[in-house]
Amino acid sequence: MSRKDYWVETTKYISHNFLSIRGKESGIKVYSILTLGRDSKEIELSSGLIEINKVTVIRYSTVISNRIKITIDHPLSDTLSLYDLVDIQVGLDEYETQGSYKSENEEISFNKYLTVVSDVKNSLDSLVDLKVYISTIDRYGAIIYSDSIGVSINDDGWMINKIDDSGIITLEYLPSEEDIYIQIGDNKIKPDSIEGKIVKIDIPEGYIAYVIYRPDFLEKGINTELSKNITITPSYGLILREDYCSKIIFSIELNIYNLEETLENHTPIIKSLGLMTADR
Amino acid sequence: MKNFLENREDYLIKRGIYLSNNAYNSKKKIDAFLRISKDKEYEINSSVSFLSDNFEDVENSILKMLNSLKNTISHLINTVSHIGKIKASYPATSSTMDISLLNLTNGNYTNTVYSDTDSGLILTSIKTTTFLEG
Repeated sequence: MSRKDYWVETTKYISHNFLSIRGKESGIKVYSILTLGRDSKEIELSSGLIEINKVTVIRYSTVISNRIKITIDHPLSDTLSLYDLVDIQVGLDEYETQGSYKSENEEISFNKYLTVVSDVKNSLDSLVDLKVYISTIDRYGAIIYSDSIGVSINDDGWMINKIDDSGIITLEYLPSEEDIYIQIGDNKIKPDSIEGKIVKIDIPEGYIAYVIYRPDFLEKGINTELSKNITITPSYGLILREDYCSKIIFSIELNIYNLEETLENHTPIIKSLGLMTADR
Repeated sequence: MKNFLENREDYLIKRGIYLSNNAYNSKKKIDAFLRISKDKEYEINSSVSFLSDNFEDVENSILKMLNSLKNTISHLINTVSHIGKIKASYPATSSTMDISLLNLTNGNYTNTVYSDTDSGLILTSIKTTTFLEG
Protein backbone atom coordinates (compact mmCIF):
# COMPACT_ATOMS: atom_id res chain seq x y z
CA MET A 1 0.00 0.00 0.00
CA SER A 2 1.49 3.32 -0.95
CA ARG A 3 0.26 6.79 -0.17
CA LYS A 4 0.37 9.55 -2.75
CA ASP A 5 -0.79 13.16 -2.96
CA TYR A 6 -2.71 14.31 -6.02
CA TRP A 7 -3.79 17.83 -6.89
CA VAL A 8 -6.90 18.83 -8.81
CA GLU A 9 -7.47 22.42 -9.78
CA THR A 10 -9.61 24.86 -11.72
CA THR A 11 -8.62 28.06 -13.44
CA LYS A 12 -10.68 30.30 -11.13
CA TYR A 13 -11.77 30.34 -7.50
CA ILE A 14 -15.14 28.67 -6.82
CA SER A 15 -17.47 28.10 -3.86
CA HIS A 16 -18.07 24.45 -3.07
CA ASN A 17 -19.52 22.39 -0.23
CA PHE A 18 -19.38 18.82 -1.47
CA LEU A 19 -16.96 16.55 -3.19
CA SER A 20 -18.00 13.25 -4.73
CA ILE A 21 -15.49 10.52 -5.47
CA ARG A 22 -16.19 7.56 -7.73
CA GLY A 23 -13.65 4.79 -7.41
CA LYS A 24 -12.42 3.10 -10.59
CA GLU A 25 -10.26 0.53 -8.80
CA SER A 26 -11.07 -1.56 -5.74
CA GLY A 27 -9.41 -0.98 -2.39
CA ILE A 28 -9.04 2.79 -2.72
CA LYS A 29 -8.77 4.65 0.56
CA VAL A 30 -8.68 8.42 0.88
CA TYR A 31 -6.38 9.51 3.69
CA SER A 32 -7.11 13.22 3.65
CA ILE A 33 -8.56 15.99 1.53
CA LEU A 34 -7.57 19.58 1.89
CA THR A 35 -7.87 22.72 -0.15
CA LEU A 36 -6.02 26.01 -0.42
CA GLY A 37 -8.13 29.06 0.36
CA ARG A 38 -7.69 32.52 -1.09
CA ASP A 39 -5.07 33.30 1.54
CA SER A 40 -3.16 30.12 0.55
CA LYS A 41 -3.93 28.61 3.93
CA GLU A 42 -4.77 24.92 4.01
CA ILE A 43 -8.39 24.08 4.86
CA GLU A 44 -9.05 20.49 5.84
CA LEU A 45 -12.13 19.08 4.13
CA SER A 46 -11.79 15.53 5.40
CA SER A 47 -9.42 13.60 7.63
CA GLY A 48 -9.15 9.97 8.62
CA LEU A 49 -9.26 7.04 6.24
CA ILE A 50 -12.37 6.84 4.06
CA GLU A 51 -12.92 3.73 2.01
CA ILE A 52 -14.17 4.61 -1.47
CA ASN A 53 -16.86 2.31 -2.73
CA LYS A 54 -18.91 3.16 -5.83
CA VAL A 55 -19.55 6.82 -5.07
CA THR A 56 -18.72 8.55 -1.82
CA VAL A 57 -19.85 12.09 -1.08
CA ILE A 58 -18.01 14.24 1.44
CA ARG A 59 -19.95 17.28 2.67
CA TYR A 60 -18.39 20.25 4.42
CA SER A 61 -18.96 23.93 5.11
CA THR A 62 -18.76 26.09 2.01
CA VAL A 63 -15.22 27.08 1.04
CA ILE A 64 -13.81 29.19 -1.79
CA SER A 65 -10.74 27.73 -3.48
CA ASN A 66 -9.30 26.58 -6.77
CA ARG A 67 -6.97 23.73 -5.71
CA ILE A 68 -7.68 20.53 -3.82
CA LYS A 69 -5.12 18.04 -2.56
CA ILE A 70 -6.33 14.49 -2.17
CA THR A 71 -4.12 11.86 -0.51
CA ILE A 72 -4.87 8.33 -1.62
CA ASP A 73 -3.76 4.98 -0.26
CA HIS A 74 -3.69 2.33 -2.97
CA PRO A 75 -1.20 -0.38 -3.98
CA LEU A 76 -0.94 1.06 -7.50
CA SER A 77 -0.87 4.75 -6.64
CA ASP A 78 2.81 4.94 -7.65
CA THR A 79 2.06 3.77 -11.17
CA LEU A 80 -1.49 4.96 -11.85
CA SER A 81 -2.60 8.54 -12.40
CA LEU A 82 -5.42 10.08 -10.35
CA TYR A 83 -7.81 9.71 -13.26
CA ASP A 84 -7.05 5.97 -13.48
CA LEU A 85 -8.04 5.63 -9.83
CA VAL A 86 -11.01 7.96 -9.26
CA ASP A 87 -13.40 10.45 -10.80
CA ILE A 88 -13.79 13.57 -8.71
CA GLN A 89 -16.56 16.13 -8.82
CA VAL A 90 -16.66 19.25 -6.69
CA GLY A 91 -19.84 21.26 -6.41
CA LEU A 92 -22.13 23.53 -4.49
CA ASP A 93 -25.41 22.23 -3.09
CA GLU A 94 -28.00 24.71 -1.91
CA TYR A 95 -30.19 23.01 0.67
CA GLU A 96 -33.72 23.55 1.87
CA THR A 97 -33.72 25.39 5.18
CA GLN A 98 -36.28 23.08 6.74
CA GLY A 99 -37.57 19.59 6.14
CA SER A 100 -39.47 16.83 7.86
CA TYR A 101 -39.50 13.08 8.02
CA LYS A 102 -41.99 10.59 9.44
CA SER A 103 -40.80 7.04 9.82
CA GLU A 104 -42.80 3.89 9.33
CA ASN A 105 -43.71 1.86 12.40
CA GLU A 106 -41.00 -0.21 14.05
CA GLU A 107 -41.29 -2.77 16.81
CA ILE A 108 -39.28 -3.37 19.94
CA SER A 109 -39.82 -5.69 22.89
CA PHE A 110 -41.43 -3.96 25.85
CA ASN A 111 -39.30 -2.52 28.56
CA LYS A 112 -40.43 0.28 30.79
CA TYR A 113 -37.11 2.13 30.33
CA LEU A 114 -36.51 3.57 26.87
CA THR A 115 -34.15 6.06 25.33
CA VAL A 116 -33.86 7.57 21.86
CA VAL A 117 -30.57 6.78 20.15
CA SER A 118 -29.31 8.86 17.26
CA ASP A 119 -26.23 9.58 15.20
CA VAL A 120 -26.24 13.00 13.52
CA LYS A 121 -23.25 14.32 11.57
CA ASN A 122 -22.52 17.79 10.20
CA SER A 123 -25.22 19.34 12.40
CA LEU A 124 -23.49 22.74 12.87
CA ASP A 125 -26.28 25.26 13.61
CA SER A 126 -29.19 23.04 12.59
CA LEU A 127 -31.67 21.88 15.23
CA VAL A 128 -34.06 18.97 15.20
CA ASP A 129 -37.55 18.83 16.67
CA LEU A 130 -38.22 15.14 17.35
CA LYS A 131 -41.41 13.43 18.46
CA VAL A 132 -41.75 9.76 19.38
CA TYR A 133 -45.12 8.03 18.93
CA ILE A 134 -45.52 4.95 21.08
CA SER A 135 -48.18 2.25 21.26
CA THR A 136 -47.80 -0.56 23.78
CA ILE A 137 -49.24 -3.92 22.77
CA ASP A 138 -50.25 -6.91 24.91
CA ARG A 139 -49.47 -10.50 24.07
CA TYR A 140 -52.74 -10.81 22.13
CA GLY A 141 -51.93 -7.85 19.88
CA ALA A 142 -54.32 -5.38 21.51
CA ILE A 143 -53.19 -1.80 22.08
CA ILE A 144 -52.99 -1.01 25.81
CA TYR A 145 -52.15 2.68 25.46
CA SER A 146 -50.72 5.12 22.92
CA ASP A 147 -48.87 8.33 23.59
CA SER A 148 -46.41 10.75 22.04
CA ILE A 149 -43.52 12.66 23.50
CA GLY A 150 -41.01 15.26 22.35
CA VAL A 151 -37.37 14.38 22.89
CA SER A 152 -34.26 16.40 22.12
CA ILE A 153 -31.37 14.93 20.17
CA ASN A 154 -29.68 18.34 19.95
CA ASP A 155 -26.55 19.19 21.90
CA ASP A 156 -27.19 20.07 25.54
CA GLY A 157 -30.86 19.09 25.26
CA TRP A 158 -32.11 22.20 23.45
CA MET A 159 -35.64 21.97 22.04
CA ILE A 160 -36.88 23.92 19.01
CA ASN A 161 -40.39 24.81 17.85
CA LYS A 162 -41.49 26.92 14.92
CA ILE A 163 -43.88 29.71 15.90
CA ASP A 164 -46.82 30.33 13.60
CA ASP A 165 -48.00 33.79 12.49
CA SER A 166 -50.12 34.27 15.63
CA GLY A 167 -46.92 34.68 17.63
CA ILE A 168 -48.26 32.46 20.43
CA ILE A 169 -47.03 28.95 21.13
CA THR A 170 -47.68 26.44 23.90
CA LEU A 171 -44.48 24.55 24.60
CA GLU A 172 -44.45 20.87 25.45
CA TYR A 173 -42.30 21.42 28.53
CA LEU A 174 -42.00 24.19 31.06
CA PRO A 175 -38.97 26.17 29.85
CA SER A 176 -35.99 27.14 31.96
CA GLU A 177 -36.17 30.89 32.64
CA GLU A 178 -32.50 31.33 31.73
CA ASP A 179 -32.35 29.17 28.63
CA ILE A 180 -35.05 30.40 26.29
CA TYR A 181 -34.82 32.70 23.31
CA ILE A 182 -36.56 33.47 20.08
CA GLN A 183 -34.66 33.35 16.83
CA ILE A 184 -35.92 35.67 14.10
CA GLY A 185 -33.62 35.86 11.11
CA ASP A 186 -30.14 36.02 12.60
CA ASN A 187 -31.34 37.81 15.75
CA LYS A 188 -31.75 36.09 19.09
CA ILE A 189 -34.15 37.86 21.43
CA LYS A 190 -36.02 37.08 24.63
CA PRO A 191 -39.78 36.39 24.32
CA ASP A 192 -42.22 39.24 24.95
CA SER A 193 -43.88 37.15 27.64
CA ILE A 194 -43.70 33.67 29.16
CA GLU A 195 -46.61 32.35 31.21
CA GLY A 196 -45.83 28.79 32.18
CA LYS A 197 -45.60 26.93 28.88
CA ILE A 198 -47.18 29.75 26.84
CA VAL A 199 -44.75 31.98 24.98
CA LYS A 200 -45.71 35.16 23.12
CA ILE A 201 -43.71 37.12 20.60
CA ASP A 202 -44.49 39.80 18.06
CA ILE A 203 -43.17 38.48 14.75
CA PRO A 204 -42.30 41.05 12.07
CA GLU A 205 -44.12 40.42 8.82
CA GLY A 206 -42.28 38.18 6.40
CA TYR A 207 -40.06 36.58 9.05
CA ILE A 208 -39.96 33.03 10.43
CA ALA A 209 -39.51 32.69 14.18
CA TYR A 210 -38.38 29.79 16.29
CA VAL A 211 -38.50 29.33 20.03
CA ILE A 212 -35.38 27.57 21.29
CA TYR A 213 -35.28 26.47 24.91
CA ARG A 214 -34.08 23.97 27.48
CA PRO A 215 -36.81 22.39 29.59
CA ASP A 216 -36.88 23.20 33.26
CA PHE A 217 -36.58 19.54 34.26
CA LEU A 218 -33.05 19.42 32.81
CA GLU A 219 -31.96 22.09 35.31
CA LYS A 220 -33.76 20.52 38.23
CA GLY A 221 -32.53 17.01 37.43
CA ILE A 222 -35.75 15.30 38.39
CA ASN A 223 -38.05 12.82 36.70
CA THR A 224 -41.16 14.52 35.33
CA GLU A 225 -44.47 12.74 34.88
CA LEU A 226 -45.95 13.86 31.56
CA SER A 227 -49.02 11.66 31.61
CA LYS A 228 -50.17 8.57 33.44
CA ASN A 229 -48.30 6.55 30.81
CA ILE A 230 -44.95 8.31 30.41
CA THR A 231 -42.40 9.90 32.72
CA ILE A 232 -39.34 11.66 31.34
CA THR A 233 -35.90 11.64 33.00
CA PRO A 234 -33.45 14.57 33.07
CA SER A 235 -31.51 12.98 30.19
CA TYR A 236 -34.59 12.52 28.00
CA GLY A 237 -34.97 8.87 28.98
CA LEU A 238 -38.53 7.58 28.96
CA ILE A 239 -40.18 5.50 31.68
CA LEU A 240 -43.34 3.79 30.52
CA ARG A 241 -46.23 2.46 32.55
CA GLU A 242 -46.18 -1.31 32.84
CA ASP A 243 -49.52 -2.89 32.19
CA TYR A 244 -48.98 -6.41 30.92
CA CYS A 245 -47.35 -4.88 27.83
CA SER A 246 -45.52 -7.29 25.58
CA LYS A 247 -44.06 -5.07 22.89
CA ILE A 248 -43.90 -1.49 21.71
CA ILE A 249 -44.71 -0.20 18.26
CA PHE A 250 -43.14 3.17 17.66
CA SER A 251 -42.48 5.74 14.98
CA ILE A 252 -40.50 8.96 15.00
CA GLU A 253 -41.30 12.29 13.39
CA LEU A 254 -38.59 14.87 12.73
CA ASN A 255 -38.61 18.51 11.81
CA ILE A 256 -35.15 19.65 10.78
CA TYR A 257 -34.46 23.37 10.92
CA ASN A 258 -31.31 24.67 9.31
CA LEU A 259 -30.85 28.07 10.91
CA GLU A 260 -28.69 29.20 8.03
CA GLU A 261 -29.14 32.83 8.91
CA THR A 262 -26.40 32.35 11.47
CA LEU A 263 -24.11 30.12 9.45
CA GLU A 264 -23.59 29.02 5.91
CA ASN A 265 -25.77 26.79 3.81
CA HIS A 266 -25.36 23.13 4.82
CA THR A 267 -27.31 20.00 5.71
CA PRO A 268 -27.17 17.79 8.76
CA ILE A 269 -26.80 14.07 8.01
CA ILE A 270 -28.92 11.78 10.19
CA LYS A 271 -27.14 8.47 10.06
CA SER A 272 -29.29 6.50 12.46
CA LEU A 273 -32.29 6.89 14.70
CA GLY A 274 -34.12 4.49 16.93
CA LEU A 275 -35.09 3.37 20.40
CA MET A 276 -33.12 1.45 22.97
CA THR A 277 -34.49 -0.38 25.97
CA ALA A 278 -32.61 -1.26 29.14
CA ASP A 279 -33.18 -2.86 32.50
CA ARG A 280 -32.68 -0.72 35.51
CA MET B 1 71.10 -30.55 15.25
CA LYS B 2 70.35 -31.01 11.58
CA ASN B 3 66.77 -31.80 12.48
CA PHE B 4 66.65 -28.76 14.69
CA LEU B 5 67.93 -26.47 11.92
CA GLU B 6 65.56 -27.98 9.39
CA ASN B 7 62.72 -27.56 11.78
CA ARG B 8 63.83 -24.00 12.55
CA GLU B 9 64.02 -23.24 8.83
CA ASP B 10 60.59 -24.68 8.32
CA TYR B 11 59.34 -22.65 11.22
CA LEU B 12 60.85 -19.40 9.88
CA ILE B 13 59.58 -20.07 6.37
CA LYS B 14 56.15 -20.85 7.69
CA ARG B 15 56.21 -17.81 9.94
CA GLY B 16 57.32 -15.67 6.98
CA ILE B 17 54.48 -16.99 4.92
CA TYR B 18 52.14 -16.47 7.83
CA LEU B 19 53.37 -12.93 8.35
CA SER B 20 53.18 -12.09 4.67
CA ASN B 21 49.74 -13.64 4.54
CA ASN B 22 48.76 -11.67 7.58
CA ALA B 23 50.12 -8.46 6.05
CA TYR B 24 48.34 -9.24 2.79
CA ASN B 25 45.12 -9.98 4.64
CA SER B 26 45.44 -6.82 6.72
CA LYS B 27 45.89 -4.68 3.62
CA LYS B 28 42.86 -6.29 2.04
CA LYS B 29 40.97 -5.81 5.23
CA ILE B 30 41.93 -2.15 5.44
CA ASP B 31 40.99 -1.66 1.77
CA ALA B 32 37.69 -3.36 2.39
CA PHE B 33 37.14 -1.37 5.55
CA LEU B 34 37.84 1.89 3.70
CA ARG B 35 35.53 0.86 0.87
CA ILE B 36 32.78 -0.08 3.32
CA SER B 37 33.33 3.19 5.18
CA LYS B 38 32.97 5.12 1.94
CA ASP B 39 29.80 3.21 1.10
CA LYS B 40 28.44 3.83 4.57
CA GLU B 41 29.36 7.49 4.36
CA TYR B 42 27.52 7.70 1.05
CA GLU B 43 24.49 5.91 2.53
CA ILE B 44 24.49 8.17 5.58
CA ASN B 45 24.82 11.26 3.37
CA SER B 46 21.94 10.02 1.18
CA SER B 47 19.79 9.32 4.25
CA VAL B 48 20.56 12.72 5.76
CA SER B 49 19.82 14.36 2.42
CA PHE B 50 16.56 12.35 2.10
CA LEU B 51 15.51 13.25 5.65
CA SER B 52 16.35 16.88 5.12
CA ASP B 53 14.43 16.94 1.80
CA ASN B 54 11.41 15.22 3.33
CA PHE B 55 11.48 16.75 6.76
CA GLU B 56 8.57 19.06 5.91
CA ASP B 57 6.45 16.15 4.68
CA VAL B 58 7.34 14.13 7.77
CA GLU B 59 6.46 17.09 9.97
CA ASN B 60 3.16 17.58 8.11
CA SER B 61 2.36 13.89 8.41
CA ILE B 62 3.05 14.01 12.15
CA LEU B 63 0.83 17.09 12.51
CA LYS B 64 -1.94 15.35 10.57
CA MET B 65 -1.57 12.26 12.73
CA LEU B 66 -1.81 14.49 15.79
CA ASN B 67 -4.93 16.19 14.45
CA SER B 68 -6.43 12.86 13.53
CA LEU B 69 -5.65 11.54 17.03
CA LYS B 70 -7.17 14.68 18.57
CA ASN B 71 -10.34 14.13 16.52
CA THR B 72 -10.43 10.48 17.53
CA ILE B 73 -9.98 11.39 21.19
CA SER B 74 -12.69 14.05 20.89
CA HIS B 75 -15.01 11.46 19.30
CA LEU B 76 -14.20 8.97 22.08
CA ILE B 77 -14.90 11.62 24.74
CA ASN B 78 -18.26 12.36 23.12
CA THR B 79 -19.05 8.67 22.96
CA VAL B 80 -18.05 8.13 26.57
CA SER B 81 -20.13 11.16 27.55
CA HIS B 82 -23.11 9.76 25.61
CA ILE B 83 -22.72 6.35 27.23
CA GLY B 84 -22.36 8.09 30.58
CA LYS B 85 -25.66 9.88 30.04
CA ILE B 86 -27.36 6.58 29.19
CA LYS B 87 -25.78 4.90 32.19
CA ALA B 88 -26.89 7.80 34.41
CA SER B 89 -30.47 7.09 33.44
CA TYR B 90 -30.06 3.36 33.20
CA PRO B 91 -27.38 2.37 35.68
CA ALA B 92 -27.59 -1.32 34.89
CA THR B 93 -27.84 -1.60 31.12
CA SER B 94 -27.89 -5.36 30.90
CA SER B 95 -27.98 -8.26 28.51
CA THR B 96 -31.71 -7.73 28.05
CA MET B 97 -30.98 -4.40 26.36
CA ASP B 98 -32.63 -4.14 22.98
CA ILE B 99 -32.09 -1.63 20.21
CA SER B 100 -34.44 -1.03 17.31
CA LEU B 101 -33.23 1.37 14.63
CA LEU B 102 -35.54 2.91 12.07
CA ASN B 103 -35.21 2.10 8.42
CA LEU B 104 -34.54 5.63 7.21
CA THR B 105 -34.86 4.55 3.57
CA ASN B 106 -38.63 4.25 4.12
CA GLY B 107 -41.09 6.80 5.40
CA ASN B 108 -42.62 10.11 4.41
CA TYR B 109 -40.22 12.83 3.35
CA THR B 110 -40.85 16.56 2.98
CA ASN B 111 -37.81 18.49 1.78
CA THR B 112 -35.67 15.59 3.03
CA VAL B 113 -34.26 12.59 1.27
CA TYR B 114 -32.33 9.46 2.17
CA SER B 115 -28.94 9.77 0.51
CA ASP B 116 -27.24 6.47 -0.31
CA THR B 117 -23.92 8.19 -0.81
CA ASP B 118 -24.15 9.89 2.61
CA SER B 119 -25.75 6.81 4.23
CA GLY B 120 -28.17 9.11 5.99
CA LEU B 121 -31.13 11.43 5.89
CA ILE B 122 -30.33 14.91 4.51
CA LEU B 123 -32.19 18.05 3.49
CA THR B 124 -32.88 18.08 -0.23
CA SER B 125 -30.87 20.27 -2.54
CA ILE B 126 -32.66 23.17 -4.17
CA LYS B 127 -29.83 23.55 -6.64
CA THR B 128 -26.67 21.62 -7.33
CA THR B 129 -23.83 23.05 -9.37
CA THR B 130 -20.95 20.85 -10.35
CA PHE B 131 -17.70 22.62 -11.03
CA LEU B 132 -15.00 20.10 -11.56
CA GLU B 133 -14.95 16.75 -13.25
CA GLY B 134 -11.97 14.47 -13.21
